Amino acid sequence: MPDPIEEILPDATAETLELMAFVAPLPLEGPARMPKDGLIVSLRFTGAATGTIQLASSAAFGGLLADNMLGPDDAPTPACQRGTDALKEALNVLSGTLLRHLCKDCGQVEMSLPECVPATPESWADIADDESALVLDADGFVLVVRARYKESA
Amino acid sequence: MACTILIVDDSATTRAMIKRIIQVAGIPTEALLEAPNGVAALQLLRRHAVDLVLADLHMPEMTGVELTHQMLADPALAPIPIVIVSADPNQEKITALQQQGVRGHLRKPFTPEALRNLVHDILGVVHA
Repeated sequence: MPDPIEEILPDATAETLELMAFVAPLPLEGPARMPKDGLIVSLRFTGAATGTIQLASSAAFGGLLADNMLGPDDAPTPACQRGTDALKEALNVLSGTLLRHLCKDCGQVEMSLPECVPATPESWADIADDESALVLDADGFVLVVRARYKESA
Repeated sequence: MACTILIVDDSATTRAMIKRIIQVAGIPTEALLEAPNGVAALQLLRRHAVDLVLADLHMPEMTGVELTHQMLADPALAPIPIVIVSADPNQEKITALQQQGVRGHLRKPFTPEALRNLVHDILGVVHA
């Protein structure tokens, strides 16, 4: 029986990026190399299911998201901050979509606030090399999404 | 009639995006206020006459649920319509808030049209 996460992750990711920022992701051809400005955004959830949803990408991709959401002239904060903020919000929205589908039969879950840290080669590889991860080309930027969970007893 | 809308979300990008949608939609506004969490929102609500609150649920310092409860418990703030704009996956939580008095819910990701129509319906404003 297919893992429900693997079934819904691609559509949930595409829906999030397209509606938020007009980005249509495609499967990445080739290895998911860590960009110099790599970032890892993580969101934990607890309740009827427990787990973590992560997004590995770059500050530059975050800047693209922010520019698409706002238009470059509407930037409320410096470029570095709005890129991080946009990535965190993208993960927040994606997580809500995923968990709504995943947990409709298993009860309530509570999401943490997303946290963003600079990627290291080790942390990047941990996500990008995971066979369950979704590896994408998002308007020329590498984007890796991984969701791990278990239903609570 | 021009209205004052308070946007409460810890994401500065999302707040700016909502502002832009409201401005582009031509909804007549006297002011578009912003707050990054419920604590800042309450401070603004006590200083300004606000016609509508658009509030996220997941925020630091004070969540949207706590903000809603504090507004509904305050006779001066209870009449202000609250719309939840959130990615929260728990429909039961949203339903409970609506039963307590929240006027509407917009799930992220949302289209500009959905936000515009919801604001229009709550405030009864006519598109420009």
